[in-house]
Amino acid sequence: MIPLLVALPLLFAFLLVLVDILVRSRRYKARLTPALYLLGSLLPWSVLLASCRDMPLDEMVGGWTRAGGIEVALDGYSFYFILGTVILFSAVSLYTIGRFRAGKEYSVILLMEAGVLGAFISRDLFNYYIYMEIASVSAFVLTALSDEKGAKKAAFRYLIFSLTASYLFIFALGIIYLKTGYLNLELVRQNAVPSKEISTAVGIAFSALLLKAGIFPLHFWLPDAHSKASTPASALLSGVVVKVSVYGMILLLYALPVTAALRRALLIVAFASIFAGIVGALSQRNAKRLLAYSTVSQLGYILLGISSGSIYGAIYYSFAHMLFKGGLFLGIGSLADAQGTKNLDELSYRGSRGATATVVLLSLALTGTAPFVGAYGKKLILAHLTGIGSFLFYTAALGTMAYAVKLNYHLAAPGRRGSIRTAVPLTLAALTLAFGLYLNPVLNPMDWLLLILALGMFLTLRKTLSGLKPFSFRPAEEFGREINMHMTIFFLFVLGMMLIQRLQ
Amino acid sequence: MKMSLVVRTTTKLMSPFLVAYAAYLMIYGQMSPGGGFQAGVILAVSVILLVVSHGYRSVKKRFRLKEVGAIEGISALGLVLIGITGIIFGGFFYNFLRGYWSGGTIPLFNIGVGLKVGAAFVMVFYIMLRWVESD
Amino acid sequence: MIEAELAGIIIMLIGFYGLMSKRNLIKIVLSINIVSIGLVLFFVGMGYREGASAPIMPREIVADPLPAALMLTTLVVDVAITALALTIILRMRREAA
Repeated sequence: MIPLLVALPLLFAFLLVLVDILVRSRRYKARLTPALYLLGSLLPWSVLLASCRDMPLDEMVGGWTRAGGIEVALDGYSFYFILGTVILFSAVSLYTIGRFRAGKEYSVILLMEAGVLGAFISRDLFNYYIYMEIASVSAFVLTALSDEKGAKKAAFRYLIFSLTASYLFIFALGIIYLKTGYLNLELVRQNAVPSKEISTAVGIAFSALLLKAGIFPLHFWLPDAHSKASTPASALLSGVVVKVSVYGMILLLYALPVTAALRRALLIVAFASIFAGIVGALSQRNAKRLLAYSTVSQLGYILLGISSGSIYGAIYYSFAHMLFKGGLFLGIGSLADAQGTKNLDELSYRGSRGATATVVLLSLALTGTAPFVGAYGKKLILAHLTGIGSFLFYTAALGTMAYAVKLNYHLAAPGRRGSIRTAVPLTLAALTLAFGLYLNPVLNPMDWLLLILALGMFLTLRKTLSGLKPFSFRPAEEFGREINMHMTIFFLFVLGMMLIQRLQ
Repeated sequence: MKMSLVVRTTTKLMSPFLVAYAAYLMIYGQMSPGGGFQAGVILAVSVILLVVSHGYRSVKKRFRLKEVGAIEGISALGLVLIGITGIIFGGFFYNFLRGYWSGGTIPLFNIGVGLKVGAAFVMVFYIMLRWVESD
Repeated sequence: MIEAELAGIIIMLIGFYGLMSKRNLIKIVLSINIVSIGLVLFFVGMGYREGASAPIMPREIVADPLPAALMLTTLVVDVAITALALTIILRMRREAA
């Protein structure tokens, strides 16, 4: 039953391609395409609702044995990922109806949904890789389809780095298969014995997934790809596709012995990513780039949860990030599309009450303020941190609030006008509040105190901040040379992750 | 973009045999080395050889882009449908034809995959050639 | 004789060298293909056993079929992404022109 989650979007994706080719009449095509697209993206709800009552579910595809088949599951690890994915894809499909010209774009979005859901249900490392790759290929295509200048370059960079990381990931899977004899998660867990080879493989696999998630030293592809894609595409890229690699890290952590040295290194990388993302976001003048850097920072929080041992904190925070970052990209993206600019100084949500409510609510959710959905995940992560860790955590919260205040400060100023439809992002904003009340119905005065502090800080430092140059790391002018440089950074990072485990 | 007479004649002679070999690999894939993907690649090669020797323009009159796309879509749809039909008999991708003939649903999968892969490769080739020629 | 696994790793490293040193975009795509070929050799070498036969209608010793099957899937991904990368390069050239 669970594999239907993947099969239904896949079926409708292929149907859309066929309709595009076989149906001659333009009128029928214009009616059939949106209907099939909506069906494909909404039908996974029926499977999810039918099977969520008897969780945890576990199934071998095709009725094979565990050693010979592919295992899929729907349980505490994957449920919130799948719920967030289905919510965000439904929102995006309602948002995109009628905006694309041909059926091709619609079918790419459905393929992405199939890939993401397939990765989230799989309990087999290689199967996970294949579905992650389906999701990434659709992500490259969606980025490249954008009309904006430089989108092709961004897509190419995304593709090259993502593909290199995938090959390193499969190489690591090969070592794991060689040492344990299985790729099934449960069997790997039973057969894995700590050894040099296993720790090397875990180091390589983690660095590959860190690149695919866009964590700080390896984030170079992310701001361009996420800010230059079209509005619905960037909501999906930032909301869902990077979470696939987060899920992979959780699977690796579940199945394989991870050395203490690697955990410590991941903790440091997580904090580096949080602060680098904050600095990047504070210095941007482009609204979508600000959100993209914010994704780098927020994924740092998720990695913090993974490396400090609070897996459920990471899962709940990923779910929260799916909702609010998807909503923010949809809301601010539609504002930018309507007003024809992405510059923060010119954008404004003054003219529209819906847009104001959306952006304010979602910014509060972004900062992790208590009745909103992010607060529960943050609380779980904070419980696993001690000493300097929790101090840095509060500092990071202050920084996050500072850029959220910056976003709202610029958008609240008078600027261009343009009518926009905000129903879908507003629904997502309401959902962040609803899920927050469901998961954790308390008010935390500390959050509001920090928020007031951040507001004061921003208002006093506003002049200095607006003098900052947009932060971006370009080691070389020429595109090919730049790829070489970033590739070198990536391989040095992989080597570091492998060697750091030999230090004790 | 035509090649010499020797090349054109040879490729014309080769192509039918390649198609026959692809069909063999598809149908006997479950009990000999081979299978859907390899068969599909060989199927695509039989068309790509013709494209290389005769030029894109004359080949696309016989193998139209739309027809290739339709084959690809239909075979992909068939693969997913076979997978979903398995749910009625016990599980996704359950081999419900086991016992009726050798391999059950596996030959059907091989044929579907072969057609899908072959059509997809030809399509990739067509689309890239279309761009190169329009430059 | 060098083992197939080791040869695969060496070929992968050659591909990485290309990725770090070549600035032509098509050469970068080709370097990635070299990495993938090294990976395929690594996996296929992993399944090889001395004197084993193909794993169809099993006899006494057979080669491990799983790595070869996995590599078939990886090759499909590789082909799809190479085609996509070349298409994006074509588009970039046109955008620049």
